Amino acid sequence: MSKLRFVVAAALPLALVLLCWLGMRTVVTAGSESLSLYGFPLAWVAPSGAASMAFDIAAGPLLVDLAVYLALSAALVALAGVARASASRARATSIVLWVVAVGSMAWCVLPLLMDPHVVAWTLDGYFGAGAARTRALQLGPPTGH
Amino acid sequence: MAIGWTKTSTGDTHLLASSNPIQMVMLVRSKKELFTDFIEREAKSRGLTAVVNGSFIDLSFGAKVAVHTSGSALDPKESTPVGEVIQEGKLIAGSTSPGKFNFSQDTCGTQRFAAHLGNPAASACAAIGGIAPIIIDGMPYGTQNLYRAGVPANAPATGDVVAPWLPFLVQKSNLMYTDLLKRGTDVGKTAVGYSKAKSRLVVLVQADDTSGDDANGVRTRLIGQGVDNAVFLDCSDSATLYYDGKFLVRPGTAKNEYLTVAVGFK
Repeated sequence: MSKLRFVVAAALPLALVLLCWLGMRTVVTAGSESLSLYGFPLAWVAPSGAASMAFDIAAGPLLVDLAVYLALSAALVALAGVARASASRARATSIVLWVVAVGSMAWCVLPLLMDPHVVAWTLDGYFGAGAARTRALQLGPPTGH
Repeated sequence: MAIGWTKTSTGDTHLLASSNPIQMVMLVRSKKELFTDFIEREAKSRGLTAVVNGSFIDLSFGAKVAVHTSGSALDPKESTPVGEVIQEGKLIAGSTSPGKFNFSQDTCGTQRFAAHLGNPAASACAAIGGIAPIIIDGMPYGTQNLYRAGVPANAPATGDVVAPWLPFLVQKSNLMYTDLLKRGTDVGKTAVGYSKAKSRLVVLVQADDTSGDDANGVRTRLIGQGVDNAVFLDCSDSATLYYDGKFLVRPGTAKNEYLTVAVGFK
């Protein structure tokens, strides 16, 4: 299997699944105000206080995270030996991964598209450098307000 | 024009004002019907002159998917209002949101409204919590804390302000306000305010995706009306205004399916 085909067939869908279900929640707190940010290694989405079900989405960090997840997924898929598997087995694995990836994207992305606002990079510019930040594993999509 | 109200429209931004005795009424959708149908029905049955959208709404993940796929009104049980909604001393919807703001008419029959930090008073005649500040007791809100000259060093640029900086504060920062300001001039906005000096209630609604003021512009406009207490309700394409028997601003299609709380005036 060529490198490009290997990435498209297995690594990309696995990256999308991981991006949806496995991430990091960063809570930034300054006094009585706090903001939850989602994404790993960079936060790329945060609920917005502008409106119901509104989200701010940072395009730059999203691309960085996607690249990181893609690299990680390529390594995982290589370890699993998908590239060396028989053609029929590799195809079946790819189909399953793409089905799960499309389902995951629908589950994770559709809610973010209810009222999105795309920014280039920073989501937590409101808070100063001195604000407290706590980080935790996030299993599943970002939550709303 | 409705008796006792003045209406000024600039493009798709409408400003209503009234110094006549106004009764605020909280409306909570309880049937599976579109938000606009609910507002129209309630306005007619209760004799309301003006109705705007109210609380922020949270949805479960299943409900979010349903809104995208069903194309019909969401069961109101699937919509969770953020902040307390109080009518005649009873909590009729929502939940506590102590870090956010409220707007209330504390005593029925009096032309007196107020905006405060925290949950509304449980005894309020009508109140809505979980919303964003614009002006609270004359203090304008914005993206940063601003101070007058002479403020001691290390005053916080955002967040809580305490002594020794508090006496110097001339503008208080707020995250929700900042989130709305980031959305710029074209995003829909719903604001209510009150001028103590003029005993005047002011309602401002800008339709989403139309040219208007940003959050700072709305604040300036309300200050120009003498308003000393004002809040933003749910904004963006949640913005809705029913006035004098017809809709001047309608919510977005998805919002129309799941918004639940409205604020009426008669």
